[in-house]
Amino acid sequence: MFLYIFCNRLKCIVRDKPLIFWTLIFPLILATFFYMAFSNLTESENFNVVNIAVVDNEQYQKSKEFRDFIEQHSEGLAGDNSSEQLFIAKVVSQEEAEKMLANNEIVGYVTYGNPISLSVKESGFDQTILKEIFDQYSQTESTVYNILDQNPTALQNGLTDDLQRNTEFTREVQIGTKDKPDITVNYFYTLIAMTCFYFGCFGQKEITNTQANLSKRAARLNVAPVHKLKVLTAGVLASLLISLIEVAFLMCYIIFVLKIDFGNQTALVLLTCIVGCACGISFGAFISVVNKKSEGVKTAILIVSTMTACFLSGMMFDKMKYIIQKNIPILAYINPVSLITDAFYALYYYDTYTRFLINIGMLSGFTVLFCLVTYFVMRRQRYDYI
Amino acid sequence: MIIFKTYFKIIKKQSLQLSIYVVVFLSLAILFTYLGNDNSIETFTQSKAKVAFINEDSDTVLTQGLKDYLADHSVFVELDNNTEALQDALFFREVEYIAKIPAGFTNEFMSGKPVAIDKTMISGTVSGIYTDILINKYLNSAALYVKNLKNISQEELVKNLKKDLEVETDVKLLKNSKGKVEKTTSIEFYYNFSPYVLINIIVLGVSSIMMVFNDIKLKRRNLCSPVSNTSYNMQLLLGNVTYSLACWAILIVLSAALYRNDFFRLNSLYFVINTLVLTITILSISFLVGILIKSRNAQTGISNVLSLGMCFLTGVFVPQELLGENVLAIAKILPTYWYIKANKAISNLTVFNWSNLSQIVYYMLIELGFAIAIVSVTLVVSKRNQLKGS
Repeated sequence: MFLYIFCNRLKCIVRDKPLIFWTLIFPLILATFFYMAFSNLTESENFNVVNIAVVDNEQYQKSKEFRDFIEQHSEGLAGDNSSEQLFIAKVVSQEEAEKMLANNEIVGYVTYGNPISLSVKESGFDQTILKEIFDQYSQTESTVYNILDQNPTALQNGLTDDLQRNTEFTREVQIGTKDKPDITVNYFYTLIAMTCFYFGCFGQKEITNTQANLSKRAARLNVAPVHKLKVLTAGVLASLLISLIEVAFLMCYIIFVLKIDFGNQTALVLLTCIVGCACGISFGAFISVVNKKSEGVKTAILIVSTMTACFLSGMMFDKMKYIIQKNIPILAYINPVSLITDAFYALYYYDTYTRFLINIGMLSGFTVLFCLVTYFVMRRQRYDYI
Repeated sequence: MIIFKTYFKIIKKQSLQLSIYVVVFLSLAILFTYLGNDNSIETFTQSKAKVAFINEDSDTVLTQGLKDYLADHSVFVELDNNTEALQDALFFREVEYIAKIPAGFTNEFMSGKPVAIDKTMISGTVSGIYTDILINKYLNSAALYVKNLKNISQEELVKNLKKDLEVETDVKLLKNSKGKVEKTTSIEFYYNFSPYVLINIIVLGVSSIMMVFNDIKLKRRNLCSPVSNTSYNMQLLLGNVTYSLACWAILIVLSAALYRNDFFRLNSLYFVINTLVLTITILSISFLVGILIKSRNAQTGISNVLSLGMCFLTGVFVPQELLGENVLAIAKILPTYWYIKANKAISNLTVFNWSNLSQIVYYMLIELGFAIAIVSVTLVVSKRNQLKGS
């Protein structure tokens, strides 16, 4: 009997085209949009070697130090353990430099003199770095004069050698599993969390089909000689199976086609999906039993609460999750969508499991809570008439 | 005008669903208005990275000097010194560079031993490299002093460094040939964002009507009513146009209310015109959607996919400069791409002469071109449907 109901519920869900669209096709489309829109986003914060021009004037030709300085940075920062090229310099005439700047071929051009002058078209990080590099030249010059003022013998004692040596005074210490965490992964994590909660529609449908006062089919089912819990369990398990297949499909697409990074903990990522699906379905069931409004209203509650929860987890604006976490941490803990997102995030970026375990624990707690409420509301409900 | 009246009865029934989009849009617009920072720059300003400065050494004059120097060139972020808090902040780019000064740093530095500050940054980013340059510059100069002036005190060292680091390059900000430095104002943001709400409410509204009136039984009954076919179609068209214009007008009124200072500038007039042109294009899309779909489920599906697709791919949600080349190539076949381009040109307008305006008009004509193309397709499809007798 159980298997019979289970199989028929499976067929019913699969044949419900709108439901499959919203829980499978729509997330796939949205993932594609996310990918297309965000794939270039992290690129923009990367440092790129910029083109600059140096005006070929008399002072420039006279100063060997400045020429060396340009050469040194143009070839790469001659540090012991760093060879970062900061710019590619071309030595050209003043008119040429102006023309190049106007045509956006260069970020700026530098004219050697006292003080050194830098001409740029806009303010930005590239320009600021350029300024810092040339500041460094004048500032070091000032340092040297200052030292010679106070200790004229410094030149004989290796000051020039010291000048050549540019020591790295910083040492990279990586925290977490990534040296360059990609903020856009959060969008995909919220998308999966959203999909899990769209599965709430499955839960809602199961309740509508078993609770006698909600649909005619359920009323008929209630007079059948079968235990209601059995029917509901079969239905919910069928929903869970379909949702797992769908979410697996979505995950495969996101991981293998879109190549979004989920960290290396495949088993735990899967566990998160399973708990997420269970939580989503039970949430749908919960919403469905605690109010007696029409099915349209229930769907609306489900969708609106899911989307609000998604917004608070950063689906529309990535920093939202952090803002909530920082200012209203309790809201992050009672928002199951945020818990799923955060579980993925913890697997992606943390090298410890505490945060992940808290998330999964809370999610499981919510699932149990939703199931229990559903059970206690539904059990022993009998009707003389409907 | 029975059909015209029926039109708005149907819209009224949909009003809850439609108003949700307006409310969501408005709250997002307000949120981003407060979050977005208006930085109109006329002189050269140095960019600043978000830096967390954690000192595990004792508070010495040297570390204080370094901190002061960094503070002038970066935005300091206060963070708890625990790994999770640092990680979260780094992931969400609340901080871009974490400099941790190890215990005993000052003593070893002053005695000339090789030392280093622990840095955690998002590797390869501009802001990280910039901060790295700042720190290395400060400490390299300091090392020069320490090495060449024996027994220099920390106070003297920091004083000397401070003086040296005041020497600066003279930066000339040459004006853009186009006029001025680019910036995104709140009102531009509002208008950039409006396609999302316009597409949703117009497509949902108009296609609901079309679905009702295209229902085959209803259509047959209407055809034998004494209302002439022309009048019937004209009333429907009038209804559609009125509805779309009303949606457009609501957006304009809201923008006038939200951005009182910016709205009464000449630029806003062009925003308004551009939005009107887009509204016409969206209306034509709605016609097409209306005759293609058969059920309410398909309707919400299509309106969502259309609005999200057009907004994600063309620069409504993510600025066009941040989109990849491939995406932009696809975006060019969508009207919102040209709408955003026009908006951008409008917000950069300072001189309202024809050579500046012609570009904007050109973009708007492209949007209208889409409208004409889509209406043609719609006519073909509807003719075919008629011939099939449905």
